[in-house]
Amino acid sequence: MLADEQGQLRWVSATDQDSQLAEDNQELLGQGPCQVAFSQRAPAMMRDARAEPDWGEIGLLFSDVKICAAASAPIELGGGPIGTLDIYAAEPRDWNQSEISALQAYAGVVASLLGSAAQAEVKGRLAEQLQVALRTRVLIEQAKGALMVHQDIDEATAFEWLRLSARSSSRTVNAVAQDILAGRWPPMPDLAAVVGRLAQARRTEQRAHQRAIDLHEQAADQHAQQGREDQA
Amino acid sequence: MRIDSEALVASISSLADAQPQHDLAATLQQVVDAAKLLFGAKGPG
Repeated sequence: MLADEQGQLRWVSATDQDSQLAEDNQELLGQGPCQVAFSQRAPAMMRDARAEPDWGEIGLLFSDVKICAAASAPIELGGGPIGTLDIYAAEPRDWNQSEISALQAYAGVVASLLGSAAQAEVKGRLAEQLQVALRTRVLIEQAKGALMVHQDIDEATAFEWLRLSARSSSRTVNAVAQDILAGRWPPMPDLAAVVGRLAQARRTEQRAHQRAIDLHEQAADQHAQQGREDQA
Repeated sequence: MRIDSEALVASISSLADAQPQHDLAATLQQVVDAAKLLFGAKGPG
């Protein structure tokens, strides 16, 4: 998925109709692992859509298209995120570190390919989407930096601030970012909502992380137990 | 599933002939197809 001029993710490429629908739904609701990965610039994992209500309505919509688990990694180009690479599974999946590392490596490959396309000034719909994503990324990164310094907030909060300001004023994130860079500060959004959304995303991520640690320890215990039985 | 580094390198190497400067859409499709195989996933995007 690539960011549009509003800073919202739009699907670009998918292997099948269900994956495309999953991306469409995340785009529509502004929810899901890809949104978290993009705003927090870190991988985000959903283990089981049916068992993790914190993800919100997107979990139900994933189930409708027979998707149970998802993992997303940000695609970064020129020092900022321009989109995400997402993987979907039909069964619950405990994403392990090798899968997350591989997904990040793949996201790096995609960034490199997109960088080549941007440099070659490729024509076409996708190329235009890419150029928009790059322009948006530069403006948003600059505006986030200004907000972080001016309001003494972290990067993720600054990004949510931009998104909420744009949504509440029916303007694009780009327009709000341009105002900020011109020294015109937008009205303060409902910070409780910003903090709430971020806290929810972080709780979900922490639970997935803890689940991965538990499984790893469980596997290590089983391995040790097997070793003892073999010795006996 | 565990993804070993050799499989990852082989998968990424399969994209060596990608030509995003000529056909970006086909290149991205090639990437998601290769990722689907590597991850044994329902589908990437």
